[in-house]
Amino acid sequence: MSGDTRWWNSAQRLGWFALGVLAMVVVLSARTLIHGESPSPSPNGAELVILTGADESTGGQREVLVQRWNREHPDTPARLESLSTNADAQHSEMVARAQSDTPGVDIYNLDVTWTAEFATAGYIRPLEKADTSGFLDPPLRTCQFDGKLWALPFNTDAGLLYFRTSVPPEALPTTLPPVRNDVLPLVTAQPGLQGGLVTALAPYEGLTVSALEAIWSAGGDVYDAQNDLVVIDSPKALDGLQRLATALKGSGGLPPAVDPQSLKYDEDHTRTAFQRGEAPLMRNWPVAYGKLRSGDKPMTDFDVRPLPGPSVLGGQNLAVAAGTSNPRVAQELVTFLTSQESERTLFGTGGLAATRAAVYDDPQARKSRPYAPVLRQALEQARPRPETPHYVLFSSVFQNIVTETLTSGGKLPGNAVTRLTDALNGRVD
Amino acid sequence: MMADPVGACGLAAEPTMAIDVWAVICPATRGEGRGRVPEETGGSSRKRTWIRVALLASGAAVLAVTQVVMEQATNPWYVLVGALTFIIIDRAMMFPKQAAALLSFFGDISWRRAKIAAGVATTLIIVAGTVVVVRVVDDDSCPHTTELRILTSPEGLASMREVTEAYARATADDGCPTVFPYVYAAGSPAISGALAHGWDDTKTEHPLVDLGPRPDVWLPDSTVDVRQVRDILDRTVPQNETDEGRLPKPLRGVTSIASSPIVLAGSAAARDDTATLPELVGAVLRQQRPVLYAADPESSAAGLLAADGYLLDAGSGVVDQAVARRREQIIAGSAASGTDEVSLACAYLRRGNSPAAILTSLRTWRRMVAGKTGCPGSATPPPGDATPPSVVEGPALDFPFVRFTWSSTRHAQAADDLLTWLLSGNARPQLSQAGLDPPLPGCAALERNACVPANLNAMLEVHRRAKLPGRVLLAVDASGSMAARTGPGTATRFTVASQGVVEALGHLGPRDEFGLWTFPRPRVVGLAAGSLPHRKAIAGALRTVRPAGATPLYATIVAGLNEVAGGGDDKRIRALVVLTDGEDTGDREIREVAAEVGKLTRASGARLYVIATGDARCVDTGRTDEGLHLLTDAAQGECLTTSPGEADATMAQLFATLWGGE
Repeated sequence: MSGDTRWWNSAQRLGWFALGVLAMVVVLSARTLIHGESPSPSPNGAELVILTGADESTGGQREVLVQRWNREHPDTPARLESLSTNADAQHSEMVARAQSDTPGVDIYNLDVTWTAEFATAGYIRPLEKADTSGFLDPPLRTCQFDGKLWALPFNTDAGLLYFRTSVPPEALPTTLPPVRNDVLPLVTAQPGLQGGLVTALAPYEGLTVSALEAIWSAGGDVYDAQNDLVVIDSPKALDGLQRLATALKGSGGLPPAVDPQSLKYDEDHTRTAFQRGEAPLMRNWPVAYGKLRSGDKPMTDFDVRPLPGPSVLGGQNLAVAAGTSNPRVAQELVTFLTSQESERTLFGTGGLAATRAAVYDDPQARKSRPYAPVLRQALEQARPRPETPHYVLFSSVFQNIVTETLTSGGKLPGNAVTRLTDALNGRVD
Repeated sequence: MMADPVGACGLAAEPTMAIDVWAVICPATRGEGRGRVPEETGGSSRKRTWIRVALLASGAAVLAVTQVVMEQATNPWYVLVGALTFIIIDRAMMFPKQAAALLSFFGDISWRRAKIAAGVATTLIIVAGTVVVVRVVDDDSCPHTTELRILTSPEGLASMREVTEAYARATADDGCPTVFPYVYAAGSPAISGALAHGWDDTKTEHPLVDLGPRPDVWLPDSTVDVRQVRDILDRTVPQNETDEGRLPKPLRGVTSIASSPIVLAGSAAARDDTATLPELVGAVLRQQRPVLYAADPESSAAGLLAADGYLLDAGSGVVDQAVARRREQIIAGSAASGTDEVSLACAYLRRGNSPAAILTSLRTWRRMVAGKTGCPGSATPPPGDATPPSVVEGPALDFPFVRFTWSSTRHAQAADDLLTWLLSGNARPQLSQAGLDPPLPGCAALERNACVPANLNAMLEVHRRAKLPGRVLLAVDASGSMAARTGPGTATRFTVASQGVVEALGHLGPRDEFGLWTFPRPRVVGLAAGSLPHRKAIAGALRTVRPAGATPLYATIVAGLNEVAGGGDDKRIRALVVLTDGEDTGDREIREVAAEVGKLTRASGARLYVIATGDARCVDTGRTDEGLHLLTDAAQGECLTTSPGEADATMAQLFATLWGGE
């Protein structure tokens, strides 16, 4: 046999090989289609599993909704599989499950900052023909990535400015962090304070949130997504960080504008410090409202307003797992759990901020959550954190940089831009 | 979907409608005959080599692009239609004559048009394939890391985080880490059951909520911890699965990755490398007014191994009961008790003095001196003596690296890779920096382990018998916030606490006395010996409590300490245990209360233990001079922080250390 005949035969073999590969693709996609299109409930009564952080709503309203679904859909029941309330622990278990041979998950309840990661890694699948009308725009945008819709917003969150009612309205700060001139009227309103404002500045996600808000409040930003550039060294961003560093120091015999103990506080510590009267102002999430009003020593002499600048947008989104054997029903369940009726229950009874605009106008919800109009206003001004598949790494590097900046009196480390750019791309130093 | 350059190249061999395309794709054969197999020409062997390379590359490209598409494709309909289309093109190019005949069945198609159509189709396929490949290659972002869930002991948390972070950096590929280690901690008493039950929920336990992710790696301090899990499994797993030293599921491999000897440190300890640990400890205990600090043997593996120092005599036999009792009293009377090494170290660091004599692992001592203990708040390293203690032959922590059968292939591989790195020379500097020594020979096995004293059970038995009987009053917070649910299910914080009480009562010794209070609405079951009617009365009282109202915590503590101070004989551990989830709602300052509590303790010896959950804080992170530890430090007890769901286990564990045993 001549050499050319041999290569011709090789070519033919490769042609057959290609055919084999393609046939495999046909079989696999056909299998997915068959399974996806006929969601006959498993004869063993296998349930749709929603992997989620433990339910912190008042009276466990997520469970209430799932039970409501189960009554209406006895053939395709669902159950919540709860994880720790700690976001890092949730992230770890969810990612590990998504990476495992048998995840056993149909729906993930994802923090708003994880959409890009789960989408690019192929852990979740885009939603098809989902009706997104009625959702507030900011939380809905956190469900989108790369031009596709990956989830529906389950509950949202925006920071509020809590203040003691002894503080006259004209004495409330017009920027966050407050400036030195804001402190004097606060001292008059609440003698014995340790600082004007308490906010979470301990080195965890709370620091990312507070520092981003300080930078935004000064008109700066950390990441310019349009041009894919880290802009933390822009004059406005530097100004925001400088203001935060300055606010942590007292001057002229006045207490600092931000209580320096905040550097050790998370949201819970912040709340108890506000309750103890260490500061007349507090930046916190809406969940603190209910906790302050209830508990063993309910507090009544406080009120809330939207933050003077944009708030970081928080919350969780429901996404359909890539590995679910029943994507159509899973999406139906996501739609059910984020419906107006469900959102009303989650907010009105459970206290979780609703993702649908109409809920905030509901008289019943307004009665049980008097801060509803303020929250809605705050949500409309809220902004998402930088979108990257490596958000967890980005946030921890950002926290290190902010801590270094604050401990050096507001001076940004020289390599901050490089470090943040690397982190956005998932690189370590 | 992918181009099929292979099929296109094949066309050159036959009279073909796509022959011009073939010439484009495989320029090496441009001009070679149509309608015949190319002849051998000059330089054709080199040409053939190139063709083979091109064919192989094409084959690889088919596979690569197919894989990318299968990973990225989200709509199976598109994939199906795309694949079918390309199968048709593939076949048409392999069998152009038949394809042309088939097409002519539908009518006359000019040869020229067919050629153009085939050319366009093939070009499109190649362009699409190139775009996919270029996008994948051009993406500057790192690929996603493998998540590795690593569970360790509370005492090992800080050091293991340092070591695994170093691992992630050391194995990064062009700055892109391949693994993301998530390190978290839980004490052995809490996790033994969860591991043995596959980390699944049981009626009362929710490990995913209360403890954290299901681990791929468990790195406890000692093989002793692994034995606890193995012992539970031995009772539940069929015997043939545990025969001949086989590890029962879910355990998959136990390997020692480091070591740290138990040492006697402090200003009162002699430096003598030739002595044994019991000899060194014996010398301290013979001093006038001896002081010796050690972690609790029933709560901490390090504490259990440290008991080797004071419960063994110079001849390595277990000391007799009278000696054991006296020594236990010295340790109990030395200062604040600590359930584990870190809480013991932190209690000292908060006081700002250096312990006279402390039995601890060398790891914890090194980290304490270096200011890396990981205490909450701002504890500073002890002043003065930083001379390394004598390292003598004796027990040592052996840091077993435990893997599990439940890990998926990917995570099992990641765990194996981490183990390989830890055992390699590359990890040594990091382990050393974290305060750990290389693994010791003979310390890898579950049984006959050179790092673990052989007479461990006898020692534990002596310890239990030597403990004084307890006179313990438990005050459970029944304020409104205790009605909050702890997580899934319907258990409230109070229900979980009640379960803890019932569990603790199960371990009540015959000589122990126990009483129960709830606050703010008092339900009182007075202090009495643990008879059956007494236990029933306590369980009954708990059932009638409906949490409501405020938290008069300080007032309850003062009244409770007065209650345990009186009555009973002298030879008892007197303790008030308070479980609370909130801050005091009274008007007194905590420092004022601490002073009063300190006075009461000095007068009666009654100690105060607080289990803090929810909003209650042992150490107030912001202001370290505040927090409930102020009260427990003044009253020579301990403040334990726990999650509401774990309050029962923490309570049961605390009572196990307080009850007198037999």
